[in-house]
Amino acid sequence: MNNTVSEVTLRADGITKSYSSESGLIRVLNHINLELSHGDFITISGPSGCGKSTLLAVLGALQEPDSGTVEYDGISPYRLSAKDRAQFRSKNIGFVFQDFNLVPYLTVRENILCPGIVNSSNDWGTRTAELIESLGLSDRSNHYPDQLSSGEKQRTALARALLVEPTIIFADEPTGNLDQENGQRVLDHLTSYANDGATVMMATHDMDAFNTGNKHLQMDEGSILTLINDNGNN
Amino acid sequence: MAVSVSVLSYIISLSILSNSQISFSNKMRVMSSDLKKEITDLENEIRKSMKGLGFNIHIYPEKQDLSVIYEQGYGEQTMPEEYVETLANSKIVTVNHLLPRLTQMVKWEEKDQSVLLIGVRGEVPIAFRGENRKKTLIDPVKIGDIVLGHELHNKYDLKPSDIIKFMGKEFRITATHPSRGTVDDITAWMALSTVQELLEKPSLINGILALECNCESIDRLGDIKKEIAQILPNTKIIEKESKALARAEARNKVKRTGEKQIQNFAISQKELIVNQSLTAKLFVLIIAALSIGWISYLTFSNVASRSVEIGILGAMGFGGSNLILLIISRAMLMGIAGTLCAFAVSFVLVPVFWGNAIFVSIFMDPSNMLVLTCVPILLACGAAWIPAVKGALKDPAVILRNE
Ligand SMILES: Nc1ncnc2c1ncn2[C@@H]1O[C@H](COP(=O)(O)OP(=O)(O)OP(=O)(O)O)[C@@H](O)[C@H]1O
Ligand SMILES: [Mg+2]
Repeated sequence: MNNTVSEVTLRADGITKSYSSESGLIRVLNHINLELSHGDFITISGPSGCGKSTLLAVLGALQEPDSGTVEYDGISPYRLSAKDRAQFRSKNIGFVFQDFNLVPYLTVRENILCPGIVNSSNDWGTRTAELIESLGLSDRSNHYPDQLSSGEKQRTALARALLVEPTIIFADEPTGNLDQENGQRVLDHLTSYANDGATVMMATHDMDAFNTGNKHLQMDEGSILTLINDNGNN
Repeated sequence: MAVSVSVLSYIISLSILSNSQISFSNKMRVMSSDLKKEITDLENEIRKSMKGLGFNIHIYPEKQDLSVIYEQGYGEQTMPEEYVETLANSKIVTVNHLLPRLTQMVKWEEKDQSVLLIGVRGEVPIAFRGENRKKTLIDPVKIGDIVLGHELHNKYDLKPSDIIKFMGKEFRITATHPSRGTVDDITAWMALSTVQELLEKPSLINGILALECNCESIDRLGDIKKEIAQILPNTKIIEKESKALARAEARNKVKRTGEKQIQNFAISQKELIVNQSLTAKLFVLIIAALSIGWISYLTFSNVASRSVEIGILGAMGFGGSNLILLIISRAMLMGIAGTLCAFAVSFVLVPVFWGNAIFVSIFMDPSNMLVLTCVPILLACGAAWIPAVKGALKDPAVILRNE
């Protein structure tokens, strides 16, 4: 792995996010600063409700923070219009969710093709076929999500996230609904994608999954407790 | 899926609706034809009873001074006997029986008695009616016979088959009438030719009695006068006796009352029909509102699952107008597919359950088709519009988390 000249992909500065509830404002993210580079596979753990999902959403340009900046190679997605931000997501960011979030009326193949529709410049057919092949979905490509097992669903979601070869993939407990074997398959795919030079950021409760990446982030109550770099750098 | 179901239910409810509409209009059609039949029946009834109430007229020579008629009961002016043949051979429709007569007050020298002598010829058959003519109203008196009014036979104690002398001739009494309290009581009837001979008025008559005149119009006398005047220009016509006139008046009154009743009946029926069509329209409106409400409920209850899609698609990079367009066009496709599907099903169901006539009336009516195709599609798009716009404005993560 080439970690010495790692280029910064994502920089987050002073991210705060609060939700209003009956008992007043709840601060979910508290001045988060973070830098991610190409080839990073960062795993996040922390107690339930500590803000992992919120952090992924804010960094993934899915949810605007109250304050702070998110920057991808000089582009701040939250300074873009909603439409341009969506366009930006479709080109640069992939998502994998715990509960798959497949479009129920589209087949495996169509679900995988979904992010490509916005980026109509490419012909995504070949790429889709490759992904179906490599993720072991060949005999499932014309099935609908409700005909799939959980593992197949998550591999479909993974293929969808990988389609446009985004610079970064956010995975929010991607193994949470999977058995050991299927979970490991997903982790292997994410690892190899990071090894290809992309960035992967994964929230998980599973210790094995947590130990998969090269950077490990512990969160509590909206703040970063520790960030461990496997290479010893902090 | 929900869209197809709701569209199908919409079409079926519309079919049922149209069915009830059609059966209602059928009912109305039957009702109004019933009404028409009832009215014509009533009119025929009245016409029939009017016919039964025929009235009688006198035909006199044109020169006849009517004051003389009213003074002595007959006129001194005469006209050719052949007039009655002329009349009978015409196609007169308003008169049933024609009786020519020669009347004069004479002295029964033998008894020193005033007698109203009437020469009668019996009924002149009205030519074109042929075999169908009615029974004769008055029996003719044969030559050599005489019929006497009450006073004439009672006073002199005469009986049928007695032979009497009258104006120098012998006659056999064939009938004696009971007292009538009219001039009939001093009247003697003989054959017309005999009277013409006795009075030296050969082939002449001084009046024609037309009996059972029928005229359905109110201006009965006017119509008959017109008809007779065309055939016999030199005559004048009066209606016989005010009794008959009063009867005719009563008859007309009956007719007018009948007509009024028909009118009232028609008006009340019309009101009934109007009321019922109002209720029908209300009913139709309620059903339409209910079915549209149900479809709206079905489609809008779909919003929740639609939101997840929007969240997913948003995360995948569909944003702003792209997202709205995608969702709406999908909804529209679903609406069209649902409508087509519903059409296919109803193409089978409607003729089977409600018959071809209703099928044609639903699917051949352009406004119906417009509603059937546009409303579900518009509703489907409308139902998608709200979450699409909402979703386009919200961050995808917020939508995904909330659903
Ligand atoms: N839309 C919202 N409105 C109000 N509160 C919210 C909202 N979204 C998240 N929260 C709250 O913010 C906190 C952080 O939520 P988040 O989902 O980021 O936690 P998490 O670390 O991912 O938890 P888990 O491990 O259970 O997935 C929680 O207390 C949650 O209840
Ligand atoms: Mg979470």
